[in-house]
Amino acid sequence: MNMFYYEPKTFQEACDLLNKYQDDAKLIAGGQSLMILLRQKVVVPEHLINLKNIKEGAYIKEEGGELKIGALTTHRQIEKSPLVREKLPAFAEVFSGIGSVQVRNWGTIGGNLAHSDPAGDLAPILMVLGARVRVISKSNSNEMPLESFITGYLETKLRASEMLQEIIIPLSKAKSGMAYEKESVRAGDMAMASAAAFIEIGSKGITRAKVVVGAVGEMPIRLENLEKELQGQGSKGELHIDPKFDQSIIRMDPYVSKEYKYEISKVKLRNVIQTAFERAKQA
Amino acid sequence: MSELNVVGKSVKRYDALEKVTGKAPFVYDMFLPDMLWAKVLRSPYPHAKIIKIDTTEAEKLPGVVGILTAADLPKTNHGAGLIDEPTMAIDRVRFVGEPVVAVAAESEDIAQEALTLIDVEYEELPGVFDPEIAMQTNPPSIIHPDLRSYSFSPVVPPAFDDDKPNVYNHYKIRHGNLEAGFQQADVVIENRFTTAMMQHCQMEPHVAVARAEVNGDITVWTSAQTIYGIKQMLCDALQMSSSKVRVIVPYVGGGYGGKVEIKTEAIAVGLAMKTRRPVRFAFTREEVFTSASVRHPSVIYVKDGVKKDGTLVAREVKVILNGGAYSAYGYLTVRNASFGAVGTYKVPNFKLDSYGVYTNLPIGGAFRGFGSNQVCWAIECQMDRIADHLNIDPVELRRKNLLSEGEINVSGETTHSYGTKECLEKVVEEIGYNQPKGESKGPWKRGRGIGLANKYSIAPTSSCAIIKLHDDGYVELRTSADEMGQGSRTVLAQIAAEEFNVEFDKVKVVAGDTLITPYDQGSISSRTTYNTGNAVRLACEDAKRQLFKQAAKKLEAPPEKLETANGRVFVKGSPDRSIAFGDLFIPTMFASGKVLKQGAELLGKATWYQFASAEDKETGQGTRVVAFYIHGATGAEVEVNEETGEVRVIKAVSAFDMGKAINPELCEQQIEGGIGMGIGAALYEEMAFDNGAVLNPNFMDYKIPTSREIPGPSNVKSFIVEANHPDGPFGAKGIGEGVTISVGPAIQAAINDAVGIRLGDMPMTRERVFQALSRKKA
Amino acid sequence: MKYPLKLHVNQRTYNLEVYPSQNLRDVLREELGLTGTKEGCSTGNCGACTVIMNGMSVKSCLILALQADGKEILTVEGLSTNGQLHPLQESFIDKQAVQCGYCTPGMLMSAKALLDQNPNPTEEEVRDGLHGNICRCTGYVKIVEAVLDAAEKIGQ
Repeated sequence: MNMFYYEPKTFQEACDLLNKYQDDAKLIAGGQSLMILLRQKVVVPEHLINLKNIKEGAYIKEEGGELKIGALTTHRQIEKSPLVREKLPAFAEVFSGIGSVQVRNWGTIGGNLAHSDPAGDLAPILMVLGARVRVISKSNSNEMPLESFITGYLETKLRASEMLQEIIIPLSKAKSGMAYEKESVRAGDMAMASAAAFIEIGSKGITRAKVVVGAVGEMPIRLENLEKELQGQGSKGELHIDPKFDQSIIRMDPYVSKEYKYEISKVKLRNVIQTAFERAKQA
Repeated sequence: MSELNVVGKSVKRYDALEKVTGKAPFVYDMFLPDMLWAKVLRSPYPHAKIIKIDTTEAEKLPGVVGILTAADLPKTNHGAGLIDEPTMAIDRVRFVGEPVVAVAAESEDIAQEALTLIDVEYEELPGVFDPEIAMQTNPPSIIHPDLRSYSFSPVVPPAFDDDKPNVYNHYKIRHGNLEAGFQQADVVIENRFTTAMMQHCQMEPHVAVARAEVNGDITVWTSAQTIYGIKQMLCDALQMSSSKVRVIVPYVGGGYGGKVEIKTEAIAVGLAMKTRRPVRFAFTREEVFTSASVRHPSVIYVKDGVKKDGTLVAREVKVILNGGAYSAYGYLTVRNASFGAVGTYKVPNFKLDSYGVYTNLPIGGAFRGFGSNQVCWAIECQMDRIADHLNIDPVELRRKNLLSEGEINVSGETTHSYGTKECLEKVVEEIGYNQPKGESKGPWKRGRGIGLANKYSIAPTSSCAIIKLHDDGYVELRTSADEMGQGSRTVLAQIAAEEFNVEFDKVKVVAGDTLITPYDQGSISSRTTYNTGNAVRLACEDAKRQLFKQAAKKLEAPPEKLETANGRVFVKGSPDRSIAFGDLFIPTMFASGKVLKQGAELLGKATWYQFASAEDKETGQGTRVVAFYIHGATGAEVEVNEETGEVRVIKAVSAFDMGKAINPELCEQQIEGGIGMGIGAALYEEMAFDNGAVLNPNFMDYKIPTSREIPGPSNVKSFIVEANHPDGPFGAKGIGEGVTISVGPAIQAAINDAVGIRLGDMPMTRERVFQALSRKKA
Repeated sequence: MKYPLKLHVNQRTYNLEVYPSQNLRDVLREELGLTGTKEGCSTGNCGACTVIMNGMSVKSCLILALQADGKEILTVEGLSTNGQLHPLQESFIDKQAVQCGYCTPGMLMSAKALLDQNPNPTEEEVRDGLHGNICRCTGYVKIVEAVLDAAEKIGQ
């Protein structure tokens, strides 16, 4: 089959192409996941749209108390960004565990989120940070919480005519801390279990907690019960963390048992909550 | 022996310059003019009958030039001792990934597309995957109903078991009186150990490029480590006369035992003959996992009788190797795995049974260590359990039971050039075995441990070498020893340089072309330095004889009074009486070079034949069963996370006895690489299956350690111990395989030291560690 | 259909026509004959195809050839200049960091990208910078030593 190729220079041009070709088109940014699927012919698009020439799509800026990251910003740009390191050091830290330097040099944050691999490293921490994404199409532009953007295993809310433009991360003004940890066999591997936590504290302990367990389910999952239990804790220093969650969400994995994934997720959850809490205290 | 000039020195690798500039030739980089691309349709079933193959639609696809099935090939099998494997499936498939139809097309994409147009009808048969089920008297499937009618090598005939129809070879060792031994024992300890299926993961996947010449000859370039073995298998599989087949092996991007069979060559040749065009058949990484050979998974039972003081008095070992669909080199692994239980410890009463069992899994073949990894894993883990039971320090227990020079081992051989003790003591010291343990941080607990290794090298075996002396004083060495990274060209050139007393860079190596380089059994069994090295020495002596004969007349001295250095021949003791090699030649007309007046060339040639003694089939006893033993020890320091079961190797130290180290830095390369591969085997690597299909046929899901999982240079140390071998060139033995073997046992011991658990299944994944920790807590 | 592609490789400009689905690695190897860049896995894990593109190390199997249009690419063939080996190449020889050699070109390119950004790395930083390149022979020990050695040489 013939494959046609496009290099839009702006988001608008890209959206126009998407609008025209809809399901017959496939967007490629860093392609660090898509290239494998293309080679295996799992994905055989008629129209391949390369987003890498959209210069306006790669940026990191602070605006109105929020950090805004263009969807085409590479992992490496975020990892090395002085702004990110200053405002969200725990977020910057996550990147060194993603793939390898080569992958981070070319892979993009937008591609990572749109691929929606539950074992991905960015969604869990962005979810606890309350990040939103801006989804655009030829004539629309909408913001939605990342939490509702991700809908399942390799699935998002993106329709055929839509694409990601920007990731928006609110910067907490409260005394806060965050942490992400993953369990992976080797450095840079996809997670077999992961967890992220964001904690704000006040004089009476934890005022707000957000906790996500990643990798084990069809998608990263908020643990609202656990968040509620954490509420108000820690005024005397000690946290009582019981990181149990509904085990039925755990996916089959050919290499490790569901039981082990559960146990290890609990370790990760306990660790990230504790670390986020410590960081909040020091903030 | 006089002082050595080149041997024993760490000259820089012969091949390094080509490799750092990207100019080194590899077959995966070959693209010939007019070349076709081959792709293979493979069995999706672990076990099935082939009812019908329909290729008509694929033939119609534009760009498809040739299609090959078993019907196009001679109905002959090939193998490495037991001749049981067809080039392409004939009427039955026995594993997922077995080749069924091959296509040659103008491009890779067209060939790939053609595969989707081929229709193969199968009738599924029950699959058998567990070797202990497969070796029952009435297994769910008999995988080779014709087993007993297959032909085999007369050098090593197979031993079948009447009541085990899926067992393709059964090797026995009987020594002393086992029952009496157990009666003398104060304690009897029995354990079951397992190891996983591993893939070699050579960075260069398997590949062959074949060209059918107009006169019917065949030229095939291949990434292989047994150039003559490949040639013979090709001749067997395609029923070709050996002079019609030329095999060329340039540099090989990794072998480790996995490139000794015709995984790509016969199909490439078959397609080239059919299409009359050059054909490239290159495995994808996925095919390397599904369709190349693998390390046999094993189940090993060890039952030991010991005295209270730790002295071994009886040992009974049962080795079950999961051989997969065909025997291949696994046929020999069944026998040779046994030697892991022979080379290290003194056991007065001993019995071993080793079984190779067919299952519907990828083919178990040669893999760096050739069965010794599995058996030494079991033996070393068992030694630690004995030590636990008797409350003796594991190192002390080993010291007590090591063989000594002159002692008879359980194969009946006399122990000599045995460096184990020195290796063990070196490692004990360097890993800080008796030092206080490092601080634990949070859930991370530290521990240290030690493991021993031995690795035999095969006999009988042979290698040949040719030496040609050039008129400019250069020494040309022709060898078929394959260069797959182990440094064979460098080491063999050093030996030739030493023999001729020339600088290392005055030796030219011509290698890897069956048209011009002589027979060699191949770069297997850690055998090249010892065997090909000996052949090079003998060929140099032969060349010197000719050289001195010619020079004798000119120097007016008898040949036995002559010696050579720096491209000249000298009269011994008279440095002023000499002649350059070139002066033995006379100028030719029209300045077309120089010629020897007699004999055409200054050519030396030699065969080194390593004999083996007769071996009793019922007891395995002989006086020379193997060529030599490599010995060694590894010490590991680890951190274990008590909460997750993760194990990190903090430090690894190995000491190995390879006899004389011809090139010490190259020996270090092997030891360090062995630590790396050993860490992979110990902690990470395991092929996973679902109904016979590989679930992790890629580098994302099959976890080879990276530079982050293996400690850095400050924490990896290698030590060379030289227990010289009387028959080795300059006393050299070999090194390549032993180095991975002791790593797993050392890590196992270190984990126990850290958190008090004994693991018996490799790899020691974090889930296994976690489960053992949970069991301990409960 | 094919699309025009202008590649600047090792300071030479190539005008080509390629299919959208072709990756950069295959174009370098099969169209330009620059087979120093190796094929090892096609899933972006082995790193044998690592090249430097506009100063960054990338895995050329995971980049569309067309995405490299107009970019400056350095492969192992361009590492030495005027017959003079790059210090990394010298150190790989001197420190015996080469075995089978199939990972070597990718390893050299990752090492160069690392030293370009961090001329004075620690052992830990080198191990971290190279973990996207798999070597099955060496255990990485002499490779890491060679990179540290080259850093020292370049620094002098």
